[in-house]
Amino acid sequence: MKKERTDASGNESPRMNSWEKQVIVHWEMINRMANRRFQQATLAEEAALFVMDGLAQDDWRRLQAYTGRSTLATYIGALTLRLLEDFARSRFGRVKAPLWIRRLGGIWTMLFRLLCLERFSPDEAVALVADRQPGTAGAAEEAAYRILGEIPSCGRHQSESTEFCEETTLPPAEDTCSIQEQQVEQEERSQLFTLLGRIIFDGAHDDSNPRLVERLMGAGIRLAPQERLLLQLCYRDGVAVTEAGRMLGLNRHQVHGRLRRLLERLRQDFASAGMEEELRLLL
Amino acid sequence: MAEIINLDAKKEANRRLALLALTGDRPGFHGTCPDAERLACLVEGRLNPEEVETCQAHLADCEPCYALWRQLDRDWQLRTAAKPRGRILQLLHRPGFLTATGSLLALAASITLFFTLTTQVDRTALVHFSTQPLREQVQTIPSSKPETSATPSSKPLAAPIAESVEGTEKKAPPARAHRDRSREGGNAAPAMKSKRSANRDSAAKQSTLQTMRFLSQPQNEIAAADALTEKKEQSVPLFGAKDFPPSHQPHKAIGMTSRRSEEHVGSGPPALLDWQGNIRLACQGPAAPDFFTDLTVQGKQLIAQEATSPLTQKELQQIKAMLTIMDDQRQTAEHRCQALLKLLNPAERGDGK
Repeated sequence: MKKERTDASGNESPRMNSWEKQVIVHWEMINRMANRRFQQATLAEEAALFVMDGLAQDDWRRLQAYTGRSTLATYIGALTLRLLEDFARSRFGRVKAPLWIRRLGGIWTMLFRLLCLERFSPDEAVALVADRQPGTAGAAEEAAYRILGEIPSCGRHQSESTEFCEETTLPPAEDTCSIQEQQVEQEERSQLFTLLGRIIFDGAHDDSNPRLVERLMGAGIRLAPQERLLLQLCYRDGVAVTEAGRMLGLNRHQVHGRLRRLLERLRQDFASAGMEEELRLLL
Repeated sequence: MAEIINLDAKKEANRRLALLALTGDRPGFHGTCPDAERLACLVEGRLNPEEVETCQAHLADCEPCYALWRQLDRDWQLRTAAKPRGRILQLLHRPGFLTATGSLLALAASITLFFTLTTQVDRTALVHFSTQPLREQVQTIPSSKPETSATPSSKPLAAPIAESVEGTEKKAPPARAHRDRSREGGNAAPAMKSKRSANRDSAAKQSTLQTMRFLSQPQNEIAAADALTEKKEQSVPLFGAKDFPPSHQPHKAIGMTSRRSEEHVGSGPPALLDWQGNIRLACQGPAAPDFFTDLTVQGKQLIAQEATSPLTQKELQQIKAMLTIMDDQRQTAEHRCQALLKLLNPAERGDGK
């Protein structure tokens, strides 16, 4: 598939400016990203055209914001990924994931969208997640079947299309919740710890888990941003420790040492909060 | 096995602990989402530490940006991995790569040095052993006419030998090596000439060994080597009569063979053995009439010197018989050579006489 700007007679438009030429140079990359995001050829083609229109909007406003600090290819890639998500939202709707999925985040929210909104089969959804985020196949498969088990209506009621929202930045869900949504969350909260306990402990301590988990979560453990990213990458999304270190700007020795010290500190924090016995029981 | 189970259990415990910490931690809101260029810079590592910290603080809280960051990082990795330069840089950044490369280079240098040294030693040894005896072999032939005909007499002898060499060259690979060494010696002829007298005593034993090897080699190869050596050295008067005192010329001009006879044979008259050696040498190829003239003169001198160096009756008869054969102009040179060789080596010829 190749996007060509042509006039009515089929000739290339003489008004093609330099940004348009740059986008055409990177057209193959845009197509590849669209295909990887949506798999289905027709949908991917539609998404790629959506990206092209989004880039060309307001006389290439997004591209004109480019200052040259990064490479142009990476910059166009970042714009493309955001526009593809906009296309997915406009096409499949914007449904809020359950609180426990939002709490888990990462591949859980991604799988929820793929399974429950875009209606991919579990295998397809796992393959898509593994393709987007290498090294997460095992964790994604487990998470996919857990989501399907916990949300029986997943994919049954596909949301209607919503208006395209150019602002792709979503503020944290908790801050934008309406009152009704907060009530729903309160109802969900009662089930939250049960589900989290089931997920975290694989049902090993069904009776005591909800209370214990709630107590543990209320222990007031605080994580620095980089520590949180490290734990998310390594233990939630299944990324290799060395790879996680590379993404965070740490070499292999630094990242292993930091992770070891972080886990020790977490144990100490739980112990100092008086939960040493619970922790020993659960872990 | 128990250790593996313990390790798995420890990993699982760490995972649970991390998930508990992640779900229990309620991150605050860290500003607006980074724009596309900042995110691209983060992935490419172009941000300063403060900017990186700000971006990471936001990514830790914002799931959409976190997902976008991971996908962008993956695309960036794929793009850079596709470039050859990126691959080389990745190799260079691997800890073991430079060590392994250095070890391989050191090994290659060691092997090269070993072979270089080995080759040089061999070449030196070969030059040292081979050049001098060959040159002296060539010297023996023209010296029969002491002062006037030394150089001219060598030419007619060398020519037919050289012709025969061309026919035998392919059949005798060892002669080629011999010849190459002689050629090296020929190029350095003036220097070798001056060194020869100085090294003669010290090289006497080596020369003797070379002579014995020389005599044990097939005669075709030796002749080939001699002829080619002589071709190279025609312009250099290596073996002129001036090199030797006139009183010693008939004896000394024989050179290598004479030393051999003096030092090792000892029992017979040295000049007789030299004369016989010259006959053997010359009869390997098509002999020239001048050669028989020279040998006849030498034989007559031997008979004339009988008073100073007595010969046995058998030797005297042999010399006379050989002179008779040489003087027989009715026979061709080949026939005369065959007859002379029969007299010299009756056992080798199978005559049993």
